[in-house]
Amino acid sequence: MTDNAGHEPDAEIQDQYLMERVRSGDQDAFAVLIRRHQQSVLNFFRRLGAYSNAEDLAQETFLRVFRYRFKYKPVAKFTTFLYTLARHAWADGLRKAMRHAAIAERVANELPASDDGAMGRTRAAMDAQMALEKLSDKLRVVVVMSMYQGMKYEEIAEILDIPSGTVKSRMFTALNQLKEILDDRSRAKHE
Amino acid sequence: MTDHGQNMSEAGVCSRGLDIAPYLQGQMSPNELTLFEGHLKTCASCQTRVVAFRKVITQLKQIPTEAPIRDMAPDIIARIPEREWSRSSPSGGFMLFLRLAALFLCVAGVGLLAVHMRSARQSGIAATAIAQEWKHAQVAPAKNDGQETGEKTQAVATALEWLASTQETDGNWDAEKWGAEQQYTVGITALSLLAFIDSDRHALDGPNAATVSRGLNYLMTRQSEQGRFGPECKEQMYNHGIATLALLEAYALKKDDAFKQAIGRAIQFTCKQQNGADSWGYEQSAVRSLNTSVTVWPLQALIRADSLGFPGLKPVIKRSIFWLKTMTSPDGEVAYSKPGEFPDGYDALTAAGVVCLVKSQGRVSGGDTEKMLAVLHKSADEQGESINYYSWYFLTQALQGEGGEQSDKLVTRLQRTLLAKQTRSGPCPGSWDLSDQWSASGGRVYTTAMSVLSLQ
Repeated sequence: MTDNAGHEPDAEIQDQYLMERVRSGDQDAFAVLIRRHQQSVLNFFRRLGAYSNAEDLAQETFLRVFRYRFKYKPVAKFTTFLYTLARHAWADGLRKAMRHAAIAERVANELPASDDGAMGRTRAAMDAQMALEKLSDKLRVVVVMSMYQGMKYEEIAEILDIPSGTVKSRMFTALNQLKEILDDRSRAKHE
Repeated sequence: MTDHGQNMSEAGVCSRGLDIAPYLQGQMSPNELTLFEGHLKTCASCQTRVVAFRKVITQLKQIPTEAPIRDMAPDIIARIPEREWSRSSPSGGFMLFLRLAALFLCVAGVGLLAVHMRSARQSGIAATAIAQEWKHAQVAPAKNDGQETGEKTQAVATALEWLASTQETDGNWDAEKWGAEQQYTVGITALSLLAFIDSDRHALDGPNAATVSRGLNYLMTRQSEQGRFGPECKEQMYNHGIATLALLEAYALKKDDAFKQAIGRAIQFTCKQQNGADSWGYEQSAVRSLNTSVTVWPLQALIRADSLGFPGLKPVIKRSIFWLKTMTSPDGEVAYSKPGEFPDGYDALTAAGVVCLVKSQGRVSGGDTEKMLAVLHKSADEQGESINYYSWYFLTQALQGEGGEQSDKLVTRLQRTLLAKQTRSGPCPGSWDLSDQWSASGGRVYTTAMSVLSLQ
């Protein structure tokens, strides 16, 4: 289920090699790097709540990878570098509350209205997506990173620049809140 | 089945509950796993929670992974200018430039007092030259083509360079020196700071940090005991509202205690000045003078403060929003100080009204807002080559908040006009000329800061 599943040491070494090539101006290497991670990054933003602009945010993230290519140090995992930039791209997108409001509304408007909608999502998936969107941004990002991106708490802590104990407590709070939200939705359906 | 009494809080929640998520997500070391499983056998609270959390996780996993509709690599690579591919590591030229700039700043810092003004100006230019380089690495390209984004980036960078070069040594931008009325120095300084902060989320720790910090410190030294920023004057709520907003945006970037305290006092003053009348105006006690143009600044500040967690503001905001609605005609046009009164047109006031409504409600839709947006679409469509900085600042914000293809097109058109009108040469390169009815009050720093904010 995790987008990073299988992104193990070999893959890490390949990413580091590709970044090295990008630093020396190799466009083909950058294209390969993008293709390796575009699905994961795209889904990261969709699960955070972006929908129509998820691709814009993903593109922006890769452009930042290129801009900051000289800041990347191979001692760190490439995905840590990548998702730190993705997180910043997301935060920048949220900085203007109005834009956030517009995005939230578009998300609400664009989500499929029924089980057999264009995206083929099940009702359970839609409920889960709705529940995720009700979390605060700081809780949602921890859930998305650990549940879907398959990151370790230590890596999430590094990306968000918070202690790993805080990641753990946010995850606990998030799961508690998600349980309440999903229970409420379930009760509402049966009433 | 028993509970481990020593782990239970008064609310009946086991303190080991924090370990449930790592347990279910396979994030425990073997040793941690053994210990937790031992605990789990005897803790009813954790057992219940494990079942509940497992169910939540199962449901969350129902969200499918979606494949990209198309390969993004060609588009992304096309957005990178060809020359960027041949750039070498900044450990070479750019780092050397940084070191030289730092050395220059140090020398300037210990230089003779007699030339301190000139040194400060040069330091500003050196810092903004770095900022320009930095800016190229920071600015997010918009959805339109790379060339246009590059033009905007360049325009903002040269505008900030000009602004940095015109800052006084104590951190202010002297309103009178740049064609404005002197009593607006605090407001003009705050607008300039907003231009820096809104353009760069590293405004407080990047290359422009010294300029921005000097400006913020200046604002804080201009706060009265009552909490008011700037002098006591008829127009004080413009100064105060914009200065509060600048401090809030700085606080959003850095949770500095000095900012927080200054903001707290400023908010108290703002609420007190509302004086039970639901809005603000030129004279605090004369209800007749209350007006939309002044109101939108302290109101925006309160809305921003509320979003940043400053408590107790919702009732004040609610009253002001209600007042704004009473100023709105059935057709969605926002009036100045009483329904139907439009001494200087309704474009700017309606756009400002939309900005406040949307920010306070957190959404674009709603009968009032939709009518107002229809007014703005018509208004933006009718704008010609003559810039109204005040109106365009709110128009671009309101339309961007709405989003959508039509709004994007209108914003792009306004921004193209702004880009075309930026001064390229002469004594003030990077700034914008005084051209609209409010330029005489705000001066060149105002026209430039408002243009930068409209280009975001």
